[in-house]
Amino acid sequence: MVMNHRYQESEIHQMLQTLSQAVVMRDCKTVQELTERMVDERVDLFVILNQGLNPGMLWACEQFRKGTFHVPELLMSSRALKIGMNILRPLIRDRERNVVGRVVIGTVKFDLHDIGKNLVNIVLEGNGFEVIDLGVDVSPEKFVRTVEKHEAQILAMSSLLTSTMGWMKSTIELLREAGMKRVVRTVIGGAPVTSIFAHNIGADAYCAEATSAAETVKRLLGIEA
Amino acid sequence: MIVPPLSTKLRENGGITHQLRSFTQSTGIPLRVLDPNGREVWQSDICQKKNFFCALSHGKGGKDRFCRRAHKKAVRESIRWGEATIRTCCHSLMQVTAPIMSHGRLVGYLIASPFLLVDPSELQPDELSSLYRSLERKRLLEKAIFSIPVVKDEEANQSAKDLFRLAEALSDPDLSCLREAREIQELQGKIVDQILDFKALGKDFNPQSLGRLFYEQEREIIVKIRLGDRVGAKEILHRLLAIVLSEHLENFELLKISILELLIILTRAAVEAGTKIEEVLGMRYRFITESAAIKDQEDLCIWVAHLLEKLMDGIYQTRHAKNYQRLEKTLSFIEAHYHESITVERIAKEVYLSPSRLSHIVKDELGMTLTECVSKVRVDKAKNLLREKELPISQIALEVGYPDQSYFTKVFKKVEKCTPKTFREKAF
Repeated sequence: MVMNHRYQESEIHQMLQTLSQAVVMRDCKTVQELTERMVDERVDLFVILNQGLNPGMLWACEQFRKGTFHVPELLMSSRALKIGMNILRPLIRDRERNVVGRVVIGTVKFDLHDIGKNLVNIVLEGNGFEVIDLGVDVSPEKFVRTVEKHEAQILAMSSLLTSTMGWMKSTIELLREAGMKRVVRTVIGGAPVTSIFAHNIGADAYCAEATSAAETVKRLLGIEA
Repeated sequence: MIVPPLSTKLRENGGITHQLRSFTQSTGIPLRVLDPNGREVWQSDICQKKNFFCALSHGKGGKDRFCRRAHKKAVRESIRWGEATIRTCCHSLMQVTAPIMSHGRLVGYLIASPFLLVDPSELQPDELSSLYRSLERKRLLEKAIFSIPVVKDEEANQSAKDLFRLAEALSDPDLSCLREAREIQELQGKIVDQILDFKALGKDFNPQSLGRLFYEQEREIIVKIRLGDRVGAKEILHRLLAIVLSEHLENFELLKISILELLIILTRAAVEAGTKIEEVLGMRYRFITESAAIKDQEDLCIWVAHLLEKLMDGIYQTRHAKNYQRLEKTLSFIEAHYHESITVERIAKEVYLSPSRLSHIVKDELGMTLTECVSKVRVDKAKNLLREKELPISQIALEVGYPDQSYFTKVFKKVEKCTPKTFREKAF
């Protein structure tokens, strides 16, 4: 899995677990140190992301869902994650210099959740996509306008609430009205979002987890994954 | 109705301003009372200090439109969730917000900000640069940042609770109007939990499997309602709502029809449990007349959830009330301890009855023996595990309170008319 000589595979595994735990415990210092150390040891950047940082964040989200974590704990876990990502991001960007496609991404109107979306963002960047991140609370008009302006091939939307999912449908409808539905592929995701919903609203794909985002988008564009 | 403005209320009520002041004294977090347009009505003394971060950052008399937008969003969120919200504000600093309502209308809000969840010395370069947006005052801001209070996670949570209480005191008559918002969001959260469980099934999650699950859960909820098992019935209702939402969230009319179908199932079960048919017909009629005014799925879901509560209340009333309290206790005891060894004696002790008296009551009211009742709960739990987890059957048997796998299979077969293995194969 990794190319290095100083550490055994089991030691790397241990470090990844500690990294996960540090994200959960909001221990930014450990996150920074471990991420840097693993980068120095040439551990694959996506292994650090997908097996270290990401599982920790998912666990923190799970704790939030169960009610053992509240907003401050979740925010601080997400800060720890961000510190790790800030180290990985420029390296991941450098790794893939050929732009394979342009993606506009955002969380739909009246929805302020962005943890999952940010993960998708970095996964896509790492796979050679140029990502235009509109942040949270994005209106259908803004989505469509940005897609048009940047001539993006992909529109990715996220929603974490059953009450805001309807905005995905509105956005896709607006895209259709603008005559761009056939040109621009749409992909959606988020806790309450399902493949059935994606099919019903005419989205081109449903993305179950951040880690599979690049694969999903590549498939949509007909690029070999 | 003429509502006195917030400023008058604060001026006339010295007690409340005292409480506002003590909030800042105990937490160290600056507090402001703002009207719906974001104008300051009251602020703690710290906000007037020269080195107050927000004032420095905005410049002389300047109001930051980013701050206003952040406040507005935070208030909208706190009304949506029916509680004080903790969020980052415009400069990656933290804020707690709670709405002040008068007769269901927003008349102002409380903002406790800024505070930090980490020591300023630990802030990352990108976090700091967002704080020093005004370069000319960078040096002043660099100093002022150390005057921002640093609050621990749990203290922030406590501050949110305290702030909500203060907002409640300033509201007219109180913040009970937000209770429903909170209830709605809690219900939606439970529905999303169920959707996540479905999604864990992976490729087996499709309209056909959802349809099968719906009919199975429909039969289950009828049994729960007849048993008078409120907790169990609620849980299944969440699952049923999750199925309906997964299928029709984007089509409100179809959703309404599915909910009507659900309502007929629930009320029919209530009739079987002894509720008068006239009452049930009245409820159905009310849904048809009231649902015309319901405009979103959240209100539809809460309508059904309330209906279930009413039906359960009705069932309790029609049966012997005292026995029912004991039955409810018995059922919740079984729900909580199904994975342990449960004897009639142990439950009897818990509900202050003799074992024989308890057995009689259960048999009379539920039409099944206590052992059958325990088996039913355990088999239900086992079914969930069989559906959702890829555990070996021996492990599942153990988890639902049967150390002996062959005995578990026997009981399962008696209740479900098939073996656990066949059930798992059939499930999806």
